[in-house]
Amino acid sequence: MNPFFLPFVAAVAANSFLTFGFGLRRLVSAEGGGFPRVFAPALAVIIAGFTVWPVFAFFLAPFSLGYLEMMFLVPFSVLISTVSDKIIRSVSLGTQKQTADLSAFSAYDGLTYAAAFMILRLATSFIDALLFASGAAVGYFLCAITLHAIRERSDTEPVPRCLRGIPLMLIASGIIAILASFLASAGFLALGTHL
Amino acid sequence: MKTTRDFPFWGDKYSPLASLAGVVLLIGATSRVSYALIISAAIFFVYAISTFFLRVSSRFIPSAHRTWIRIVFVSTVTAIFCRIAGIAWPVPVKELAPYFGMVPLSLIASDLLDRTAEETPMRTIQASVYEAFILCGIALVLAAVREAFGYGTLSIPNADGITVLITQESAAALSLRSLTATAGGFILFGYLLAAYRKNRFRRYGIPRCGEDDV
Repeated sequence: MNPFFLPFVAAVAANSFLTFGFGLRRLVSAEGGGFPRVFAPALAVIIAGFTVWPVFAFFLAPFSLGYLEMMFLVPFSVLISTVSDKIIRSVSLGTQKQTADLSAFSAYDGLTYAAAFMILRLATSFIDALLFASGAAVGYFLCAITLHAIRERSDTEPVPRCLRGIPLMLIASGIIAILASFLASAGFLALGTHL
Repeated sequence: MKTTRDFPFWGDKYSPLASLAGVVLLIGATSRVSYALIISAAIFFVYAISTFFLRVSSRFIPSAHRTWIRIVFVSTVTAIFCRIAGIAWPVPVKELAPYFGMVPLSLIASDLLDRTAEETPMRTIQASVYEAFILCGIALVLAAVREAFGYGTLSIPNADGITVLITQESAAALSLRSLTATAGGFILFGYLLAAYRKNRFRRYGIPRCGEDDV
């Protein structure tokens, strides 16, 4: 079994959104923004994979930050999010509104922070960090696509009015999270027999 | 005539639930009452101290770098809280570690610092404590429901983890463990929002029930 496959699959099935609820507001609310709205957080998570592990595991490791790690990790994740926002805005020049996304300053509702936090806890090498980050980004992206499809469908189906919008998105997220945990368990079991 | 604006848990567009700022804490850190108590303490500590000091020192903060200075300051206050709380409750603080980072981010996302920029320092503290109170109230109610139905217990934090105050054997036997997972939090919170909308429609007659406002 390819040793790179396990951390990737783990991160896709058990991504920060489904496991902890980070990035929730962005996914369940129906504000506009098109694809940059989904791509920017996913890109921020991937950038976190490239940068967090080298910075915190090499440059800051000798300082043994302990509880003070948060003092650096939160601003660092916000910085990554704003950089990602700028990149996406520059790429989508002319097709989307070019104002800065203020949710980047909350690290996309903690999504980037959670990815950075989990990378530092789970990754044992730079490759691990990259695989974990790309898996988390793919997992978030798949959740976003699924929830977007559910939202569109709910506009045409006879859904009770009090459930439409955010409540329905939350309930759908919960069901997806249950399914993902079953899939992750089954996947790990299958992988475990081949390891 | 009463309006939804008078209702503290929802209020205007800046209220914690209408803006959904801090909703990650409401779902992620409320699997037990003990965890919700620690997160509530963190929210009160960080909101009150950060808003007060940032308001008092606002004239010395260059406007060009205001956002970044705020983020670093609020993160530092949260790290200080983690250090202090870690002495009293080392195990629960370690278990809640991923969620503490969301406290400063929730404060930034709530826009509270900008909204109270023109207020007096005393008024700033009042506003921040009021907002923290709303967030913590909802967190504790959610935690009580989730722990009671999920584990059949109610607990408070201690140095080694949790102390179970109330155990109900019959409830424990029927416990719905999925309620204590994040998935259960999503579903419970979704139904609570729907119930609120229905109640709001009945009491205030607001016909916007079903749109994307909370």
